[in-house]
Amino acid sequence: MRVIRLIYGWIDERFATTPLLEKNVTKKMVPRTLSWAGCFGGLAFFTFLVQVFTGMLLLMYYKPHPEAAWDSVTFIKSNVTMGWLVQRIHAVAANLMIALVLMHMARIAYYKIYRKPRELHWVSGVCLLLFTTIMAFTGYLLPWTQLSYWGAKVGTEIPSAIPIVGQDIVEWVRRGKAISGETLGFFFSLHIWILPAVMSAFMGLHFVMIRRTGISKPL
Amino acid sequence: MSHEHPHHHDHGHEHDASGEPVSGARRRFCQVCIGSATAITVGTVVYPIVAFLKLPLRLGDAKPVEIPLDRLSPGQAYYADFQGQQVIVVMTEAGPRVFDAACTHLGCNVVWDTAHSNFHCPCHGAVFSGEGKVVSGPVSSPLREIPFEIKNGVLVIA
Ligand code: HEM
Ligand code: FES
Repeated sequence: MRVIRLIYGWIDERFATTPLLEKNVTKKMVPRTLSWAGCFGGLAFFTFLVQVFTGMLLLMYYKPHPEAAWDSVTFIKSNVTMGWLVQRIHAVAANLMIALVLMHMARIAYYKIYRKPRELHWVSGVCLLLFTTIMAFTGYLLPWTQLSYWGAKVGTEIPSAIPIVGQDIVEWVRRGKAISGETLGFFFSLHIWILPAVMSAFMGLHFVMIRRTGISKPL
Repeated sequence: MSHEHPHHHDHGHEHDASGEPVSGARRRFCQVCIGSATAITVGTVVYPIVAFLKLPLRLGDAKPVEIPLDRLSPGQAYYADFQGQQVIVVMTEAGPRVFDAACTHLGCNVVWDTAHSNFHCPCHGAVFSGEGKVVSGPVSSPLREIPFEIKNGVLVIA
């Protein structure tokens, strides 16, 4: 304890962290009427961090190739110590994240918090919901199981309902006529790099805007 | 250079919300509770991560299976775990033999039938002779034989 206090004191003396922490965390005022439902956004963010972290661990062994993907996930689950746990957390927290984003949005919708001046909070939030679902959809193909394959096949079929360009979109998303190794590579790059980067940018914006407008005060 | 730290002033006579003086023992009790809860939480997060970073188990690391020959009785079969899969040891008249227990059809574990001295598969009814050869059923290849050695009366699969 004493060591920690000493190190903290050293940093605090130079960077004046205590007033910063007090202003933003320990002495920050939130509306008295804020209910527990106000936690859902923060919890959704927490599950995102869990996904980023467990995802990075899975990446140590995952191989994005149709010949190797399933074996590599099986290897994680049966040969890597605690691998089963990390793999399960990643799969379960993915569902949890979607549920939490939806609950977060339900609160915003119910209390009509999306109204001026918070319209763009809502718009960026809807984008984040979309990205979260695409993350779960692309991740689901990665273990290359029967369920993955058919899930991706049915899911990528959806745009075919759009007149004229529908079929082109389907082929663009699948990177060809059928689900193949190409689809796996595309989904992999979306899942582990492109979408996490885009989502981080949107979350950054989302949080900066919340700081600017403050948390809404219920009537 | 010094900053004002209001909470670093000496807490000589502190009072809780109801004006009762805060006792040191009660404060220490709370600190211990919060501290242990934090330690347990951090531990349950850190332990799996550190464990995950260990070298994974490879098939070659598996321990050899050792079975003393006097524990095998003629006409009986025994299961053992070898490199993460089940092997089946049979004591035939010609001596012991070891097979991969996975049926060559779709991989169910075969069962030794003592009465007929053959293996049968519970899934789709394949039958293999005591030598692992196909007798009947939806299979075309024999049971995979596992090499072994006998050292000082102990059967060793490595
Ligand atoms: C930087 C962030 C992330 C990385 C690096 C990452 C990485 C991975 C990897 C390597 C896999 C394949 C291994 C496996 O299937 O277990 C995977 C699977 C998966 N990921 Fe992620 N992931 C990230 C974030 C997310 C997020 C935010 C979600 C959803 C909201 C998500 C949902 C999934 C799902 C549903 C699977 C399939 C799991 C299964 O069914 O076994 N991931 N991810
Ligand atoms: S798995 Fe043995 S008969 Fe089918």
